[in-house]
Amino acid sequence: MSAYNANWSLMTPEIVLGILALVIFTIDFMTGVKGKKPFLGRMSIIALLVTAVLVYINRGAGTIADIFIVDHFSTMFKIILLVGVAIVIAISMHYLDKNDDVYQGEFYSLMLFAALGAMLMVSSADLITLYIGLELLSISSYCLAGFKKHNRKSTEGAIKYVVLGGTASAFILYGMSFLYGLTGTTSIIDISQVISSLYVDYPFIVVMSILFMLAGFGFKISIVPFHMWAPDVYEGSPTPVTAFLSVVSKIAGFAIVLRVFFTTFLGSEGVLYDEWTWIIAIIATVTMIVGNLIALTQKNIKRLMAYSGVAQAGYLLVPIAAIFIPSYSIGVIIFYSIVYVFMTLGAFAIITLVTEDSGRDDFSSFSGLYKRSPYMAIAMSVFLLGLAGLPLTAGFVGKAWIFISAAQAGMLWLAGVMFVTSVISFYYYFGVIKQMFMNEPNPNDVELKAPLSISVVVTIALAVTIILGVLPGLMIDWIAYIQW
Amino acid sequence: MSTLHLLVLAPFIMAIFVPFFYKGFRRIHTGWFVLALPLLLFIYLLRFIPIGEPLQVVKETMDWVPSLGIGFNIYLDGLSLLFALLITGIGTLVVLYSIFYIANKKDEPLNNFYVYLLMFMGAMLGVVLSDNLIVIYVFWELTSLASSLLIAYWFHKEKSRYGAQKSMLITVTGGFAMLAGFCLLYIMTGTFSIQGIISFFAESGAIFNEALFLPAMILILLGAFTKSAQFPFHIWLPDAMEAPTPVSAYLHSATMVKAGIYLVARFTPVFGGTPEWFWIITSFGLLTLIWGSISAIRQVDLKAILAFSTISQLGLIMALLGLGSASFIDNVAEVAIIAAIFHLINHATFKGSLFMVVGIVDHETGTRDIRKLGGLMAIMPITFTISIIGIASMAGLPPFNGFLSKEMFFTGVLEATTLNIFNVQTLGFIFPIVAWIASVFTFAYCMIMFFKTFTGKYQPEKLEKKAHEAPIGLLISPIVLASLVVIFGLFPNMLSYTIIEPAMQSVLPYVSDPYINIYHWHGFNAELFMTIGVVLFGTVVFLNLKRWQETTFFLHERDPLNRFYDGGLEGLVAGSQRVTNLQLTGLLRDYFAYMMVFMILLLGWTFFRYDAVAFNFVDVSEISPYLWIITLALIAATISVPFIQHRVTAIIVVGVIGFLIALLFVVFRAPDLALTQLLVETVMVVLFLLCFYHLPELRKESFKARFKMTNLIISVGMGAIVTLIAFSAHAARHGLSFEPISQYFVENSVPLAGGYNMVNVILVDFRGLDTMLEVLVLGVAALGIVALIKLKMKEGQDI
Repeated sequence: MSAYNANWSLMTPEIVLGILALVIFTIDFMTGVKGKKPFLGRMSIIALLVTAVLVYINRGAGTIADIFIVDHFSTMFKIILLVGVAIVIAISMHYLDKNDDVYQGEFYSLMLFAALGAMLMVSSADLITLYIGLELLSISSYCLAGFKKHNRKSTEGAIKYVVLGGTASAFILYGMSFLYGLTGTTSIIDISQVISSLYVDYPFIVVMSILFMLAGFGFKISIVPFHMWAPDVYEGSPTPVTAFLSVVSKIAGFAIVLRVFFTTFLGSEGVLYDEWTWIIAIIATVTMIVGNLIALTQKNIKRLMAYSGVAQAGYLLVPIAAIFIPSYSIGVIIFYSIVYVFMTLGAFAIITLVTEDSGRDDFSSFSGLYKRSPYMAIAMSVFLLGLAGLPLTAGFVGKAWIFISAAQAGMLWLAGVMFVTSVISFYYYFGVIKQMFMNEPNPNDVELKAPLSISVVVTIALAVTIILGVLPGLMIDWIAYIQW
Repeated sequence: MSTLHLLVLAPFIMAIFVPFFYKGFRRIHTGWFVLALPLLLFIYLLRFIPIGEPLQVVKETMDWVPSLGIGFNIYLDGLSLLFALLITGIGTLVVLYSIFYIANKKDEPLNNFYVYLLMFMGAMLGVVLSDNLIVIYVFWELTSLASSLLIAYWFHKEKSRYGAQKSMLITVTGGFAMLAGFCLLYIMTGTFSIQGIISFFAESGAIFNEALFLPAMILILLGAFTKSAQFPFHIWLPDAMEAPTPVSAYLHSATMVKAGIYLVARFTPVFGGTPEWFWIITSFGLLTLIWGSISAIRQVDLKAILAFSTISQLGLIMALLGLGSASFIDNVAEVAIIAAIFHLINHATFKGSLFMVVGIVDHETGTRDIRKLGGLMAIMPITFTISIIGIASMAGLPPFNGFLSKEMFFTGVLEATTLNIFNVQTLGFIFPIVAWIASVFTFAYCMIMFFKTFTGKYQPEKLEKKAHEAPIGLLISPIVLASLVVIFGLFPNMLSYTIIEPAMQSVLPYVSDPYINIYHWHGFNAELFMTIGVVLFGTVVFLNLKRWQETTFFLHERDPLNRFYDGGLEGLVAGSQRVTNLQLTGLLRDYFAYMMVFMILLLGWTFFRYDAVAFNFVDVSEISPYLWIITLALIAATISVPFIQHRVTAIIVVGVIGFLIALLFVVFRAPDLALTQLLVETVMVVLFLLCFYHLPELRKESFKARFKMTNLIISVGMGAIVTLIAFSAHAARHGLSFEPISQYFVENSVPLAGGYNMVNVILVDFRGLDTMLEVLVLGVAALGIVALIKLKMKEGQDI
C-alpha cells in the first residue's frame, strides 16, 4: 500500500467539503467576530449541496487501501446526511438572526466539519477511520450544543454531553482494542474474514468487544440505557442544533452500526448474528417502551422531540434485530431514515419558528397556532402524524414496512411491542396537535410570519412526507432492489 | 385508473375545491356545491344493482407499491355495493340536511365541515371498495381521523375535545390492532388481497391449525369492535354525540360505525365456520345488544338515547353475523345473515331519520333534554309524523321495516339454538333470552323517546327558544328516509334479490341460490309471541320507569366503563411520570450509574454464558518486591482519591498515581517511557493546579449511606468485571503470542531512518507527524488556559 497509488479521487467530495469548510472558516475571520453573516449560511448550504452532487457523481464502487470505501450504502447515507445538514443550516439562519449572542461564522463552519465527520464515518472501512470520523462529528457536536454560552442550560447540556460522550468513545475504543488484539488488523473487511474462526476459539472476547462497541454506538444513537443525555442536551442546545443532533448525528450513528454489525459481526452463515440479535431486540424493546412512555408527560417541546427521537431509534433497531438479510434491513432502514430526516427537520423548522417567536419552549407556545399561521399548523400536524405513523404520511409506510418485515421474520413479540408503543406515541403527538388547533392563542401572540428559509424547508419536508406517503412506490421499488 | 377509482377519489378532489367555493361564494351556503357530488355518485352506483340477473363483480387494479404487494385494487361485489349505496345515498341526504342545519353565519367554518365530511365520504368508500388490506387500513384510519375532526367541529367546547380525543384514541388503537392482524394474515398467505386470502384458505383447508390464525382473528376483530362500538369499546360513541347532528346521523349511526360490521362480514368467508369466530362475535354482539338497550333507558338526552340505541343495534347485527357464520357448517343459520343485511339497511333508514328529527327538535327548541321537552305533537306535526314512523320501526312494530328484520332476528336466534355444533346445544338457549330481554328494553326506550318528546305538557318556560315547526329544507331528508322505512316495510321483496342476495353471496360465497322471501304474516309462531311479549313487557317497563331508573342495576347515565378509560389514561400519565422521575434526575452520576449497571449485567451475563472466567498464571513473569510495593502504593493512592475532600490534595494524589506508573515503567526497564510519563505527568499536574486554582470552590455535598453504598457496589462491580476480562483475555491466549510489532522497528530503524535509538527514531521519524501534531495540541491547550487565566486577572497583573 502506498499513499501515491491509491485512488484518491474517491475522496473528492470529502476533500471538497473540507476545503470549503476551511474557506468559510477563513472568511469568517476576515469579516470580524460579531455581526450577522447570512452569506456564510448561504455559502454553507451551497457547499453541502455541491458536495452532495459530487457524492452522487462519484458513486462508483471502490476503496482506498481498505480504509475508505465508496459503495451504494455510503453514497446513499452521505446524500441523506448532507441534505439533512443543509436543511439544518437553513433553519439556523433564522435562529441566528434572532440570537445575537451566537458567533455565526464558527457555527456554520462547525456544522460543516460535523458533516465531514459524518461522511468519513459512513465511508470508513477501518476502525481507526471510523473513530476519527466519529470524533470529528462528536467534538463538533459538543461545541455546537454549548453554543449559547451565556445560557446555563446550554452550558450544562454541553458539559454532560462531553463527559458522557467521552465515556462512550472509551467504550468503543475498548471494544475495538479487543478486535485488534485478536486479529492484528483494524480493517473492517479483514476482520470480517477471520471473525468466524476467531469466534470458535475465543467466543467470549469477540462477544465482549461487540458489547462494548454496541454500548458506545448506542450512546450516539441514544438508545436506552444510553439515552439520558438526549433530553438535557436537546433542551439546552440552540434549537437548530437540537435538530442536528436528533437527525444527522443519529442517522450517521445508525450508518456505522449497520456497517460494523452487518459487515464485521455477522460471521459466516450468521453464526455471530445469533449472539447479538437478541441483545439488540431487548434494547429495541426497552428503548421503544421507555422513550414513548416518558414522552407522554413532557411539557417541553424539545424534550418531547428528544424522547420521541429515542423511541424512533428503537423502531430503527427492529429491522436490525429481526431480519437476517442485511441488504433487506438496510433498505428498510434507509427508507425510514429518509422519511425520518424530513419529518423531524420539518417539525424542527416549525419548532424553531414558534419558540423563537414566543421565547418559550413549552407546549403553550403552540396554542392556537392554527389561528396564527394555518399553513404551519397543518404542516406540523402532518409531521407529527407521520412520526406517529398514521397513513398517507411517509412515516406510516416506513413503520409498516418495519412492522411487516419484523412479523415476517417471526419476531412477533417485537412487532407487538412496536405496535403497542406506537399507540402510546399517538397520545402525545395528538396532544401537540390539540394544542395547535383547539386552544386559543395567547393574547399577545399575533399572526406568525415565517421567513423564507423556514417556509422553504417546511414546504420541502411536507412535500416529501406526503408524496412518499401517497406514492411510496417511487422510493421503495427502487430501494428494495439495490444490493446494499 | 378506472371510473371506480375516480369514484373513491372524487370526494377528496372535491374537498380540495371546497375552500375556494367557501371563499369565492361566501353568500351561498357551501353545502349546495358539495351536494351534487354524493348525488352523482349515488346515481352512478345505482346502475350496478342487478335486476333479474346475477351481479357482475367488478375488479379494477392500480399499482401502488408493487414491491410490497400493495395495489389500489377495487373490488365491487354485493356487499361493497350495499355499503357504497348507503354511503352516497345517506351522504346526499345528510349534506342536504346540513345546509339547513348549520347556518351560514359569518364566522362559521363551513369549509372545514365540508372538507372533513368529504374526506370521510371518500375514505369510507375506499374502505368498502378496496380489495387490498393495506389500502383498507389507510382509508380506515382516515375515517377515524375525519370522525374525530368532525366531533371536534365545535372545539371551543371542552366536551367536544374530550369526545374527539376519546374516539380517536379508541378507534385508532383498534385500527393499529387490525393492521397487525392484516400483517399476520399476510404472513400466512403471502398476499394482502382479501379475495386472494379467501381463495388461499379455500384451497388449503387445514389453515385453521396455524398458530397465527387465532391471533390474526382476534386482532382484526379488535379493529372491528372498536369501530363498531362493541362492548366494552362502545364508550366513545356516546361522547361522539358532541358532533353536529348531521355528522351523528351520517357517521355515528348510518355508515362509519358499520365499518366494523363490514369488516366482519368481509372476513366471514375467511374465518367463518370456526367455533372461535362464532362464539366471540355472537357473545360480544349479544352483550353489546343488551348493555346498550339497558343503558339507553337511563339517558335524558335524546341524542344519548339514540347513541346507546345505535350501540345496541350494532350489537344485534354483529350477533347475527356471528350466528350466521355457522352456516358454513349448517345452513340453518343462513337466515341470520339475511337478517343482518336486511337490518343493516333498515337501521340506516330509521336511525338516520330519527337523528335528523332529534336535530330538528334541538334546532327548534334549543334543547334535547327529555325533562324539558314535551307536547311537541301539536306544534311540530310533520316532525311528529316522521318520528312516529322511525320510532315504531325501531321498536319493531308492523308494518314498518324494523318489524320485519326484528322478526327475522328472532327467527335467527331461535334457529341458532337448533344448531348441533360448537357446544351450542348446551349454551344456545341464552340467545333467544338475551334477544328478547334486549328487545323489551328497546321497546321501552322507544316509548320514552316518543312520549316524553311529543306528548305530555308543553313546557315553553324551560326552552331556550319558542318551538315551531322546522323549515321545509330541514324536513326533506328525514321525510325521504321515513318514506323508505314505510316502503321497505310494505315491499321488502324489492330488496331481496337486488341488494340482499348479492350482499349475502359475498358473505357466504358457497350459497348459490338462497331463497329470500320477506313478508309480515307468518302465522302464530314463536316469533310473533315473542313480539307480543316485548310490547307488553316493554310497556310495563315504561310505566314503571321511575322505579326502574332507581334500581336499574348499577348503570348510571354515564357508562361505568368510562372509568376504565379515564383511569387508564391517568394511570398511563402517572406511570410515565414515575419512570421519568426514576431516571431523569438531571444528575450525571445517576446517568452513569444506569449505564454502568447495564454494562455490568450484560458483561456479567456474557461471562456466565460462556463460562469464560479463567485464570492462567503459567507464563506470568515473576513479581519482584519493588513491583509489589509500587503496586500496593498505587492501589492505596487510587482508593484514597475519592475520600479526599480538598481539591488540591486530590490533584496531587492523582499526580502521585501518575508518578508511580512512571516507576512501574522503570521497573519494567523502559526508561524512555518512564521519562515521557514523568514529563507528561508533571505538566498535567501543573496545568491542573493552575486551572483549578482559578475555579470556584467545590460545593460540599453530604450523601446518605445508602447512596454511597450503591455507588460503591457499582464501582466495585465495574472494576471487578474489567479485571476479570483482563485475566480471562490473558488466559484465553493459551500461551499464544503475536509477533511483537517492535520487530519491525528493530529491523528498519537503521536502514530506513539511519538512527540507532529506536524510540527516538519512532518519535521523530516513523511517527514524526504524530509527534508534531501532539506538540501542537499541547501548545493550543496551553494557550487556551493562558487566555482563560488572563480573563480573570485584573489590570496590570501578570502570570
